[in-house]
Amino acid sequence: MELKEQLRRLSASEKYRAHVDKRRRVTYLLTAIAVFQYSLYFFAVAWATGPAGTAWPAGSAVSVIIWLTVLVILLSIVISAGYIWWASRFHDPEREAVMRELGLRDE
Amino acid sequence: MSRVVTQLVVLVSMNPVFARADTLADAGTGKPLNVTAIITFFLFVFSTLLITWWAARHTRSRKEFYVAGGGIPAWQNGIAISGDFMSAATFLGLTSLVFFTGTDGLMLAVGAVASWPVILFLVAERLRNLGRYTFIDVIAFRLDQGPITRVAALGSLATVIFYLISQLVGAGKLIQLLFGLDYIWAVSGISILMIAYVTFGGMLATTWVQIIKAFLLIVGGTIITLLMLQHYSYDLDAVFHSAVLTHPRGWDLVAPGGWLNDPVSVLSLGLTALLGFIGLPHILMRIFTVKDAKTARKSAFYAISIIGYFNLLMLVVGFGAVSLIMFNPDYQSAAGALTGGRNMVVLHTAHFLGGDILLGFVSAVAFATILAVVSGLTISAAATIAHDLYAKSIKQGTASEKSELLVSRCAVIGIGILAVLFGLAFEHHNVIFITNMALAVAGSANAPILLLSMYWRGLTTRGAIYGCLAGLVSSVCLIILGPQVWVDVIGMEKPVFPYAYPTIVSAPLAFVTAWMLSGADKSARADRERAAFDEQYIYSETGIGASEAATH
Repeated sequence: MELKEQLRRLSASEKYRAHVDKRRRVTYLLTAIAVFQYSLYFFAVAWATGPAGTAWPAGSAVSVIIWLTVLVILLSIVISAGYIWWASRFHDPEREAVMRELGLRDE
Repeated sequence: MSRVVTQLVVLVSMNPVFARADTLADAGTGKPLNVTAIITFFLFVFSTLLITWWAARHTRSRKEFYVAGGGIPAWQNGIAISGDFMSAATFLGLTSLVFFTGTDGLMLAVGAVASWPVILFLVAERLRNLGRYTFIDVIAFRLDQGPITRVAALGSLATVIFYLISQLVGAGKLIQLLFGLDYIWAVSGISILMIAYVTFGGMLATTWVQIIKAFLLIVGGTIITLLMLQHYSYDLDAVFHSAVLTHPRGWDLVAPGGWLNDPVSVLSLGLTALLGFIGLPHILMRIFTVKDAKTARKSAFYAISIIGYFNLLMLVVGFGAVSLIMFNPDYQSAAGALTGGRNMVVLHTAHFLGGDILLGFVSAVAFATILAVVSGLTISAAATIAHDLYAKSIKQGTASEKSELLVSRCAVIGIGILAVLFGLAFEHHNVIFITNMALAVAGSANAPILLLSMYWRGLTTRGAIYGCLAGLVSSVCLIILGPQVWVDVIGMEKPVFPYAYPTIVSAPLAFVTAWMLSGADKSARADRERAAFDEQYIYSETGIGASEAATH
């Protein structure tokens, strides 16, 4: 099928638009979480040096900012894994279904 | 290629160093050789040259040269991306920064890891669906190809060349220290190997060099961390306790403020890391080496996991090394400084924990790290010159595949020669500012325009050109006017711009310039470009006709 015809069918499809909107909402939400935790970390280093340098738990030599470093790194991996899981489990099959319905994939 | 190996064998064998071991005496000089370093080094060089020979037989077309035919599996590409990301700056620089300044050094680790989810969610899949070989393909997708390609190529090349210079100068110094080679031979040797990998093996060889190097780096980092934990009886708190009890900064070592003291500098560094890593051309180029957006997404996840794991290792090593080597006379010069310079923390720690064998292995890994990263940078620069500038901008899509490949290979050789010349010119200079320039330009010129081109309908060619130029010029000028050049290099008393990282000014400037000039652009071309956004959006979401779309 001609590329132009594929584009026409996709842009006219409500289902396709809803499908794309869903991905946009998920990626924007996850980006907001990623940027929020990142900003939180840098705001803590910039303005909360006292609390960030406090040992936790009391008596140890590991400070809050070290825990926060580990947390940001691990959370980055976890939210990325969450997105991969969601995209593979739900988004990709849904897109294939929409494309098939529009005649852009073989049955 | 065999001549290259022979020359390297001669060069290295002539030298005593190959570090500092006492295990074997060199018959010629009577000086000690580190057998582990020699074996690991030659195994790496031999295996990578063998791979280059194999890859050369599979690198015939333009697509094979630039992006390894687009058929690299997700796990391989993920490891290669992490290899590109984990440069000598991570391995040597990050640990040394943590060692000397404490938790402030961790900001770089957080920046390197936390920028990746943003790349995954916002950039990776769309980039793969819209482009063919470089991120400039994506920027130029619906804009006027000629002018925007030339300007974006300027940002891309500036980033890559700055990065290349900083890597090569650091590498030359490091190899001089580790293996005793003269600086000129060290820089030339790296350039020769880099040219060989890229010219003959293209992206396929470069990818495998990265995979081997990343594997060695992970193994080396894991071994050092495990030995360190064993030294502290697997008590993580003891690692940090011994560090604060040994370090002159005491308990301040685990509190912020050891490196950057004012909030604006901290935030600017945060922005530089976030946007800078998004705009690195050699990292973005790797996304085109996989077959589709789904694989690009998966490879980004592999990369995040490996980079995250490695940065956690470096956190432990940086703090753990303090009590092992900071005041250890075995690693102190007569003046009381760390032998070999500040970046030798990992290597001294390896020697302390694992003797000459581990030192030799880690030294060779450090060399492999540099070699792999400069190869990745070189192929990225070659693609920008041959694909973006020559084929798309100068020849306007009429260049034959053969001539484009020839230009690519000539560009690789030219970049190799240029790298040696720059390496020699900057031998006696502090190159930290050049590394900062690379990240600042990537974050101020490349990333804003890339993000706007994919997500903002209103972007026009005029806005993109001036936005890119505003980011590029302001980031370079502010670094020159800042403390690292104006005070440290030029020798003025006070900097004109007070912050080391300019991105807090230059990136918003790029965004605002692009927004204002795009908004003010009422031309017919601008209307066409805005109207083409819907079509681009469908391509970027579905990947339909990806190759046709990119060749429009």
